[in-house]
Amino acid sequence: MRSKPSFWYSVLAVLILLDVFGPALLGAGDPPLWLHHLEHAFLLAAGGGFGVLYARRHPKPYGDPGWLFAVIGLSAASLLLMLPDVYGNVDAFPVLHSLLHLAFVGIGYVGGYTAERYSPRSGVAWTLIVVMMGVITATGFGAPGPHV
Amino acid sequence: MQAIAPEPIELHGAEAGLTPRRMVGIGLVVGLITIYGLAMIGGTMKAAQGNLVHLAPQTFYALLTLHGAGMISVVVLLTAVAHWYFLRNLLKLRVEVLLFSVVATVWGLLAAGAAVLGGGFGPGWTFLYPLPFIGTTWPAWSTGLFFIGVLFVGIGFAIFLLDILAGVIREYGGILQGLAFDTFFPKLRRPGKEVAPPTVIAATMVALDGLLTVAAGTVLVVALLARWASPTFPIDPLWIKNLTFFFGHTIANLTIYLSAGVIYAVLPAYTGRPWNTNKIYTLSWATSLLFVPWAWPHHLYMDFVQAPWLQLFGEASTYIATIPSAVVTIFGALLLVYRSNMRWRIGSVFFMAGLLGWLVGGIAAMLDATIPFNDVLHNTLWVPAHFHTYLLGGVFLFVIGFASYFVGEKAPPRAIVKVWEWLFFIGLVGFLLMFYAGGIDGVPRREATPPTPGPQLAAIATGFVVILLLGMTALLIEIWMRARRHAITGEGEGL
Ligand code: HEM
Ligand SMILES: [Cu+2]
Repeated sequence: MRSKPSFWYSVLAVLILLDVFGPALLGAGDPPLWLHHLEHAFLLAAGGGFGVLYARRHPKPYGDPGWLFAVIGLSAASLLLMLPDVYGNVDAFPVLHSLLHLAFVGIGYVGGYTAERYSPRSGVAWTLIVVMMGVITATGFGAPGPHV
Repeated sequence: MQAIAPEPIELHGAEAGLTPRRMVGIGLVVGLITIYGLAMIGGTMKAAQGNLVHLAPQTFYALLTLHGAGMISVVVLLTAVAHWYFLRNLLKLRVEVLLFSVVATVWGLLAAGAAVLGGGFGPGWTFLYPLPFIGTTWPAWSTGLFFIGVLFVGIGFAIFLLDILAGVIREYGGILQGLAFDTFFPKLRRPGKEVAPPTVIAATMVALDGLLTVAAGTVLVVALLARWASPTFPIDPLWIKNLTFFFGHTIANLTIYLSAGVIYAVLPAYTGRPWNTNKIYTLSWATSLLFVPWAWPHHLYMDFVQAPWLQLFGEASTYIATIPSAVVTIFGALLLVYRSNMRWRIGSVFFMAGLLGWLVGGIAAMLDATIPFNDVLHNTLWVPAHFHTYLLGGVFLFVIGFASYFVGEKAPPRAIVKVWEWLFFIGLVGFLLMFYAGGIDGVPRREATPPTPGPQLAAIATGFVVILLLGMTALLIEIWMRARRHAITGEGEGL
């Protein structure tokens, strides 16, 4: 990975573009809710991957604690995007929705970057945690379920 | 003029006086004062159940919520701070990060406290959906404020855990090395590095399972906040109940594993023998790492809609998660102490007693997690009986033991300390026995006005609580006075 980052940059970029604009171009509707959650997780993770790769251009054994605080503040702020009032309003407009998906990539990027600047491989850990949260939301966040 | 002007001194970090020792001391004082207040609330609840004082039911349930949520948060804080004290050199941790983590936790506790004491929020510390929203006796703002408080406690814990994980990776080269898998595969070990000591193994396990738990807790709290902000937000009750116990069970459980990390570091000081890593530790802790996050379904045995495989898997995981690390720690401690000329101080007495609490509480917990027993014991006083045994009679004893070790105890304690210790332990055991007795009699838990024999048992238990609190007060004053004395003489930690 260290030897050919530009290859990975391109792979990630293509995947992100396909995911964000593919459905709109094909005229497909939103995927089922659980898949949509996983999609968000993927976008965050892809952003995180970018962030990690970029942060590794500044190899440093142990960064400033400020980086860690930034990671946490950012993760907390990104929770707001999950709130239905934010999400419901955006969902109605496909373009806004695509932009929101790009925002996920952006959040992932900053998170992965800041965490990796804090300490080596912390960006990878942060990205994995975000994916984990995505998997947990996919088990039923926002779904009424059969047991009412 | 300008020749006399003193150079402005810029203070930050260690120079500003925030040494690791001082930071840990602050954490201990804040945590212990909070525990003290919450224990008084616990005693008040018992007295109310025993009809010795009168509490309106809404007040009882609000206090129950504050006591539970507060205690869990504060023992997480205290065990984390104590463990950090030993990890800071091994993992080169920074004191600013711990400060940030403690501050976030304290903010969270204050918010939750304000929601309960100011608003009367009272669905119990597990705030099981839909209790926070339907038929409430408290205003909506207190619901939101409480969840924001929980979020802050989670953020505080997440900072601590992320920093530990980063430290393990930085110093040992990765998670596998943090779990000491190089005992099996020596090639993994970094050149010039020793195998990770048991306290680092425990830290690695807690960091991984803790981050998973906080991730689940965050999704949970965000879902509840979403429901709070817009009442039409759909929530599947079975889904959120599973998530609630995934979070609630595991975070309470992790305090024992944080404590184990402290035990591994402290007991060698009292026995004069090292506590070394071997393959058995690696295997046991890896097993706990994998199975602790799967024990939660034992809270849902009564939910007939739950998938049967989850019930069985939860039952099996409870056993597999609990036994190995408890056995290696307790057995390892006994081996360490056996014929070692152990120096008996407040610290060592409380650590050994705490191991007993862990053992007894653990066995009582596994009984309750066994499906045929659960049919009888579910939601009876057996449940608070077992978790008070390993939280109050285990984790909290480790915290007191650590505090005593931390302020230094070279000299044997004054003779009167024996009396305080006896008071504490008699009160503790009596209080716990009344809980167990209620459980066996089928008295339900979480009742402001429990059916007979609940009130009778609660009245007796209140007497034991008074004895316990007397002993606890005297012991904490003893430790505090020793801290003041040593601050003057300059005597540091340990013995
Ligand atoms: C002197 C110390 C303590 C006293 C007198 C006390 C008393 C009580 C009482 C009376 C209850 C209500 C039981 C019921 O009827 O359902 C309770 C619940 C609880 N206690 Fe304690 N307790 C003490 C210490 C602790 C400690 C150290 C912890 C944890 C570290 C703790 C955690 C809890 C929890 C989680 C609950 C359940 C709350 C709920 O049902 O929502 N307690 N305690
Ligand atoms: Cu979307």
